[in-house]
Amino acid sequence: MRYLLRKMSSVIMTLFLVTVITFIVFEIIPGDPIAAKLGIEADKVQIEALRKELQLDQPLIVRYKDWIGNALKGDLGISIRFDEPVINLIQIRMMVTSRLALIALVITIIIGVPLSIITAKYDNKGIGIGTSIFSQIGMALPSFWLGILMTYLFGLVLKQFIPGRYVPMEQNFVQGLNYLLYPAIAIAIPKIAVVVRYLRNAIMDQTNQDYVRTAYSKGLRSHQVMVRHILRNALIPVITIMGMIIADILGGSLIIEQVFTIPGIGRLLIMGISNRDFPLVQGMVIYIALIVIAINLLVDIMYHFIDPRIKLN
Amino acid sequence: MKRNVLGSLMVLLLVCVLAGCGTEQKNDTNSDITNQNQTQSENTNEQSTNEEIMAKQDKVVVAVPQDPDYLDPHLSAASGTTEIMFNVFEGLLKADPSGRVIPAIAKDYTISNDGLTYTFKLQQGIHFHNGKEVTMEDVAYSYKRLKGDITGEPLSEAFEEVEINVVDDETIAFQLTEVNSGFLVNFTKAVIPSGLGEEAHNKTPIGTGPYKFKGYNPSQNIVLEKFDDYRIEGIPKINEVEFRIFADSQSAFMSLLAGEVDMYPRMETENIEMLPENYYYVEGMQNMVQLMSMNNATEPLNDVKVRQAINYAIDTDFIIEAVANGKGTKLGSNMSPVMSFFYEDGLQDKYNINIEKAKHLLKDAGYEKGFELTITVPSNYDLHVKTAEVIVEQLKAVDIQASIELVEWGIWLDRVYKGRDYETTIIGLTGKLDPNNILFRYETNYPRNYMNYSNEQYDTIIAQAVKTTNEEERARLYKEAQVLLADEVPAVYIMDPNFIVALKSNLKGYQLYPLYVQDMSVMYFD
Repeated sequence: MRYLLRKMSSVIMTLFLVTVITFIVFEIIPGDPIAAKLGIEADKVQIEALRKELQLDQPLIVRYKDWIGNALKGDLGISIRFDEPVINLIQIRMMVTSRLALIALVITIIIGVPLSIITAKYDNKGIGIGTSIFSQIGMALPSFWLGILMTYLFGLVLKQFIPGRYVPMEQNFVQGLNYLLYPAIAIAIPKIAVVVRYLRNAIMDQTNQDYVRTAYSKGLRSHQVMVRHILRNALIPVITIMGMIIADILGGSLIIEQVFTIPGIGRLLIMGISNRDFPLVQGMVIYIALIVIAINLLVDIMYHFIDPRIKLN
Repeated sequence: MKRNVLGSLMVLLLVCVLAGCGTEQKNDTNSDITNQNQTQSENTNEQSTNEEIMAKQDKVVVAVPQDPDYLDPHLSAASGTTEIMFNVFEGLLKADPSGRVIPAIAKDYTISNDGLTYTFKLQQGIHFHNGKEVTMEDVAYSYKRLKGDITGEPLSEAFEEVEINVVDDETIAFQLTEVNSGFLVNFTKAVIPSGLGEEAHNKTPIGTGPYKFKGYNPSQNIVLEKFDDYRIEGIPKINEVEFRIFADSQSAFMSLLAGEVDMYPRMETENIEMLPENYYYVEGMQNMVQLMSMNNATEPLNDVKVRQAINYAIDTDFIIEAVANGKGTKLGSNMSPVMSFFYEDGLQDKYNINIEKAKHLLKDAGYEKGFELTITVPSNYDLHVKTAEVIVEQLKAVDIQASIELVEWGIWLDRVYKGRDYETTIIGLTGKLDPNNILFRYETNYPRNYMNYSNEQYDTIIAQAVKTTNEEERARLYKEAQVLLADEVPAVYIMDPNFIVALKSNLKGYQLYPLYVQDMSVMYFD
């Protein structure tokens, strides 16, 4: 209980600081939301009207107070560029990005974990060296480059999907899945490489431990030892990495969404920033901060379940 | 040179990729297309089975670069929005492809002899997209709303000082306080239905144009649907138009390669060679002025000799060849030849490259050893960035050490356009229907005179032209203004880059305008 209370207060503090920093940053960086929206053709009457509407004539403190007051009531304001409530914009895109993240995560796990086991097992043999090379390359590949490559290969050459199109799952489940699959793979490849690297080392560390010998000597088969004992212990450092990966993807796979023209969080954030759409960016920053905090919390709790010796404090 | 090699390699790669598609597609796409419930046009080399689909195609996808600023036509100011909503809204008047304004909702109009009163007769029997007939009440509401009479907030500078009188059910009169020969174009502002509330126009816009608004998904698309009751019989022809928003030109072109985009306006010239067989393109002048603006208030650019020297040192012919593959029209002042009636011919050759003269002028101005110069360029405009690269090289011949500063578009707007904090910048100024709206940006007191140009004589000419109702006399004055700009060169006028639109081979009827619009109503599938 005390743990939760302390955690909550630090969460609130973090969120508060994040909003203040975003506010100040937006005040400092050059750029003007009005010009970004209306372009260079607007006459002075139009500019004035929008300035008033956005309350840009008010001092910073007043604007922040207004904003935080509304935000506490759950109202994140209206996007300047899109004239839509920020909450709606984020919610719609959240659906897309979270699906993308889920698929990417599943791919990462179902390929990453077995691959690590194989690599660890055949450490010095051909397979092990092969996967080591793969993971080295995989980590070095920037995912946007992979994305462009895949758009060419699967989109233009093999015609598995049509670049520039996106079909929501609600409309057509199979196609929707198909349109998320390729970007998910592009996201997953570097992540798989990271997972393999960490998990392989962890497994190899564990394999040399005494308890493994004990497990063998009590007659367990090799895969039983692996799943019941080694993997369980080896997963601890990997959970941390996984937490980071999820936060990373959910916080917006900025570039991949841009490359595959997927209407997710990442693309919205880029639009928001380049248009100096303050309410939108502020809303999204809060949202991303919340996700990162929540996942860290989750990771803490999972530690406890995997290894009860770790206390929550 | 390195770049060229790399470029040709890329082209080669792409050609290979494309060649791959050509053969692949034959057996593949059929099943694919039928799966998707959207109709799609095919490679021309795909015969028989697809002809049926082609004949039935009634939806066109147009690639556009940005989201609309407002759907409400009276709030909107961005030309990227007009480009789309031109199909949805009409005013009393409307622009035609030659750039003249012709009656739309109005039957006809008269201008009083003193040039102060504009009287319009309403065309009867025109309907809004919601089925309601357009009445005088709606017309009055629309223009009063712009003036600010409805909400107390004016929405357009143009109508602020105008008195609006409804004479009878068919007649409305607009009374100006002073003569403004360029005023007529303001009547192209949209007529919208009254009585729907102020917010509605931005959510579900309703107009009288050939297409009605169907939906808008932020950062994805705007969908328009054929308006069956349009005032002109047989128009429009295509049922549905989707304007799909592509944040970068790369993915727009990629989507075109995949056959997903039917129409791609403002395609880069380097993509022409890569256009698939089942596409063609239309090109023409677009009434744009690409220029290297100089900040006339900073040293040494405040010296006319320095500005002239820079003009002599820059070879615009070469720029047109190098960065636009020759697809551009050389300019000598701030006016494109597409404005034929107002255009002063001959100025484009005034500053043909002459390094000797440039050096001489720089010596006279006291800059024999040259100086350093920064060219601030918005990084999202490839054409301008490449132009800047060429100019940097060219200026070396007269010892001017130019460097390029790439800035994000939002920063360009804020710092250069609004803040006027720059030395030189390269940008394209989009054309207007009326020469006044093109040339008044050099007026001393114009709020967005970002070049800080100031010349009493120029101000007088522009003020005089606005008060002149005789068209010939007006044209003479605007030509005089162009000559003055060419003498004083507040900027280096480069070119009107050709507007290139790529179209699927079965999509016909594209109409070029000297305006930033896509007229979908006259297009059809063949």
